[in-house]
Amino acid sequence: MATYIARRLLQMIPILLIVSILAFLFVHLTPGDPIRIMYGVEIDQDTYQQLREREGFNDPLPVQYARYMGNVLRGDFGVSYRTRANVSQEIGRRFINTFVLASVSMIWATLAGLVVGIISAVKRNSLLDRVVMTLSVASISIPSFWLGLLLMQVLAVRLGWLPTSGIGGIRHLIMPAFVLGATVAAIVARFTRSSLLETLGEDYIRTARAKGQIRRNVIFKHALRNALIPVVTMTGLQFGFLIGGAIAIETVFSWPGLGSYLIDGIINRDYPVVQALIMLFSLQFLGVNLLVDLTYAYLNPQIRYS
Amino acid sequence: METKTKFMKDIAPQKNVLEIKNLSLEFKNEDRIVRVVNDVSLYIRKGETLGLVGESGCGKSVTSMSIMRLIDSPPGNYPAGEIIYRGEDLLKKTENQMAKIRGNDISMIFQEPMTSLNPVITIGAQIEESLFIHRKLTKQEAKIKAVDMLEKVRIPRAEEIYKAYPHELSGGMRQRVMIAIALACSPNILIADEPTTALDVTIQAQILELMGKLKDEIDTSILFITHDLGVVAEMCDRVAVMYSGEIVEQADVYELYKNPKHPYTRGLLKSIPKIGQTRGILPSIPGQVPLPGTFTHGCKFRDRCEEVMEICHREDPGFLEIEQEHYCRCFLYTTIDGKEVSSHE
Repeated sequence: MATYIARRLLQMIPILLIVSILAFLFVHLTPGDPIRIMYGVEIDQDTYQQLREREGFNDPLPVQYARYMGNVLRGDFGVSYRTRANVSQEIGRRFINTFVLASVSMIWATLAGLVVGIISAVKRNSLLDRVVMTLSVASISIPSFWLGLLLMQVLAVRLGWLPTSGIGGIRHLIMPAFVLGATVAAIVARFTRSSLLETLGEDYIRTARAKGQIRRNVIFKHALRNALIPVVTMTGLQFGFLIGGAIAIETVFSWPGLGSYLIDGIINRDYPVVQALIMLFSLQFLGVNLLVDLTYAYLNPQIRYS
Repeated sequence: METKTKFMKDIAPQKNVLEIKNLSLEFKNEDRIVRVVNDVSLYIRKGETLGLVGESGCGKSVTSMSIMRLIDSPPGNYPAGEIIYRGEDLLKKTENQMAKIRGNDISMIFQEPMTSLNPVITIGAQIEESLFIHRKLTKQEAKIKAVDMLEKVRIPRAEEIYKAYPHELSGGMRQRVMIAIALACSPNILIADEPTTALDVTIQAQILELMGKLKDEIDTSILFITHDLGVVAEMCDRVAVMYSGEIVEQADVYELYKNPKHPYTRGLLKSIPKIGQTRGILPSIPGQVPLPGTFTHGCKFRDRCEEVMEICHREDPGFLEIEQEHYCRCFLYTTIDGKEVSSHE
């Protein structure tokens, strides 16, 4: 298992390298002039050329990339063009906010999705099943930023029960975490339901019943573990999308995390910020994938990695 | 559909471990009710092997699953009949009462050894499960018994296989494990639903030999479901032939092969190739099995029968004892005491 993990970690290096090149090219080849962004449009031509030379923008792209990567490996993502703030420090400061938001969303969404999915499968075609599954379609279809604005209007502005935006405490977390997790919860619920229903039709479920196992044990001992194998993969993927969703939700709720940082970075053509965040999000995605594969091995004895 | 079969009265009840009386099973789908088992009666004596023979879709599997009450209701429904075990009707039992019987009194092995074991649970744990449920053994005792069962079904390196997962085993080995699971609690009845159909011939022979040996060791009765008449001749004491949801003939195995009565049974036996037979087209029964729900009355075999009569279209043939211990559902024959054959009394 240790060698498997080591191998997987090594395999991440070329992927991250490719991502870094793409991120670098993406921001450097798009129109827009970083010098004008940093120093304003009023500077004269001579100063402009001097600044370009000083900031290293006249060097060939490979040289710029090598210099950038050298700094990245030392943990230095450069400084923001706009605020001159250290990007690494800013990311460190904001990371915890996004981490809290994403984790809380993911935890409630997974738990709720599993519970609802299992109940729906066990009580298939009951009123509860129909209501919950209809709600889940709604939850998947409604854009999360719109749901966020709607809740903000009702719960914060009209009723005044919750703060509209920003961070501060549990009360600030409720709305963004709910909105961010709602889609994931619905997808997990539907997926769990269909996976469990499919598993309940398997031959080994009949075997378990033929042994004299009672229904509850047939579901929880025999069906669920098999049914969860695909759910784990899907939930892992959802976590990746959830990071993407956080970008919109953080902006709606003025949540000072990485998502809103990325949006600010893109709007202001703040290349170092955008580049750093693209790489960071890729790293997160790869990390989650590895975690999913390891959980898979635990659940499915047919894939014990050697 | 008002056919009444009364042959069971003559048999001393204590000798039979299981009796099915006039069992009918219907499946209800959205707009119609389809009867898949009609007026099935059979009995299994202590220590004997009863073969239940028929083509795919004739209702033999659903009949056996009915004994275990593994047919979900809905869609399944039993409009008539009884399944008597130890003087009680299994059809009247609740799910929890049935759970106590399944795997303990009556066990079942299935046609699909590759998919009948849970892929994420070790072989040992799957055998121990019924021991925990029915025998309340401790972990240590259960392990000893499970390894013992693996040895009983002639699995080499039983200690090792105990810890293995199903995917590490071949189909034949998995079927041995299924047999070990089924026999762990020494059931009175073992239902084997085409246990060798999915296996290749050499493995088939091994499994059949094993079942024969274990039957005597454990002193169980077997309901052996198959479509292979060769296997029946080898394994069974008595045979029931099923056609389109009904038992059409039931007799001692030697009697049936020597003296088949029902035109369907005769056709089946004729279609078996014989060693030394001159080459040529193998005889077959013309036509096809009617889809369940096609016929509402009359003999279900009439459209394929060479000896069809006018009455076959009008009335349902009864299932009658035409010779000693030889039952047949056909208007060609009269009961043993010479009474007129008619389903309407």
